[in-house]
Amino acid sequence: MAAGGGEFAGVSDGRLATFETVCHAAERTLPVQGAWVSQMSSGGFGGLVYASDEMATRLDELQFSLGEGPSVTAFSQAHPVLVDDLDGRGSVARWPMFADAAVGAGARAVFALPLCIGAIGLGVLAMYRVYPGTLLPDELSSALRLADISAYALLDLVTKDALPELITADGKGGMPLDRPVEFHRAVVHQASGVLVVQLDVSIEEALARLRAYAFAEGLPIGDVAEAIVARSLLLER
Amino acid sequence: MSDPHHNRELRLGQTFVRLADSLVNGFDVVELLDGLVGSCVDLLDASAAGLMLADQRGQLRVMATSSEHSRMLELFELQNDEGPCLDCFRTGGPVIVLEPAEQIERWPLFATELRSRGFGPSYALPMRLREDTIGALNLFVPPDVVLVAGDLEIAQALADVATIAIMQHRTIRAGEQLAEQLQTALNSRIAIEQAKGVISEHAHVEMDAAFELLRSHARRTQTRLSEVAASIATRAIPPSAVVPPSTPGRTSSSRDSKPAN
Repeated sequence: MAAGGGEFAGVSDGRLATFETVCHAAERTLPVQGAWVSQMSSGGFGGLVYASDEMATRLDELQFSLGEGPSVTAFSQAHPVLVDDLDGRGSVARWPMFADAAVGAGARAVFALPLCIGAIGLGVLAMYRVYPGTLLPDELSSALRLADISAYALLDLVTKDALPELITADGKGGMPLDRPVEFHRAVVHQASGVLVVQLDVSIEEALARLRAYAFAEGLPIGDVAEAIVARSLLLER
Repeated sequence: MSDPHHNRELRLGQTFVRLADSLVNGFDVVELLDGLVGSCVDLLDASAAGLMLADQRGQLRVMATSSEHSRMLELFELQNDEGPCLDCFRTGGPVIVLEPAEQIERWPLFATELRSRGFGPSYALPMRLREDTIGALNLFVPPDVVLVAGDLEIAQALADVATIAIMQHRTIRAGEQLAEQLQTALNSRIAIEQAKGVISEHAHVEMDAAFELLRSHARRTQTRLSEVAASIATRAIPPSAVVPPSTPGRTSSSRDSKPAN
């Protein structure tokens, strides 16, 4: 098993546990042979966070060095890029260098899902398979849910310096994700926006602070968000 | 013109021209759907309208409502558990329930919330292209109003054009295009909520007024709504950029539901 590399090489295993779980869940439950999570920002690649095997590591490195590929596109466009055949004409036209190199390495299909929460761009969860073919609707559904989990885990990781005490709060490596439906509520994201101004922090940190507060108080994030939007709760700066 | 029918036909024509234009020239899905729910309230006897799209994870998410007031958003979010949008999405057919008793029996929680907001009958129309249902359009009217068949036909036609717009390239690149469009739209919608929060706190206005400021700025600068929202949320542009100097504090807005009378 390849572990995380780049700037996360020194991060304790606990913090990477979620990514490991996600990548192996993808490998077990979806028609893919491996998966990886790359951190990215508007400035470019932030590093490989976790890869399930050597091929996944290689596919990440290729995109990093060539500056093109499905993960790069998925991140910059903020939508899934589902490549059913890397050897097809469309793929070669889109990523001439990457498509050739990836097929040479033995990959035939790549599914790249952006890890973004509104205006917050965190990275990409990508999966590869060694034969061509796309994801069925149910498989896409599972993949998107794995991406949601990865996005919040990556949010914890990139805001760790702002919130050092919280990442280890459960002693394992991150806060549990509430029912996903809570995170899709409009009020959660409105509250993050309110906190950007109130606390004078980035939108990433605002959401992380909201999440951390809810976790520490043992409250659903939606309830905390409602109180913030109603201005009946003020978080400390 | 004084003839209301002539006026409506004119506006209806303009609405379809705008929709067709977005098909040809590309568009922002959230803006398209926002325009669609606005048209439903403008053109029909509906006092409020909203639209939910499936998020490809097994949930419906609110994409546009004729009023961005928080209480309206909640009425839609509730429908992940029960309500006409959910039934419509599951069956792929229209769900029209006029009688309060039947509403309460089918959706106890939703029906109570619907009443408390002053609405009566509810109409849900599918956003469907052949065998694929991608979401539902919901129309609400005051208790003593019933939408005529012609109104429902217009609403369904508007929903159909929007569906085709979202799924237009499906035959070319199969599932990828739909996933691109839907996921982009869902994510833009989150960015809009984030930006509403920023503007609301900066300008001391309610969420619906914050949305109006965001939308007006996008129109004024001819920028896509989702781009403006992302710039505000990431502080690439300051919230003051979208707030006219004279905006009074703590206001509620404008394109809200017509009074239920």
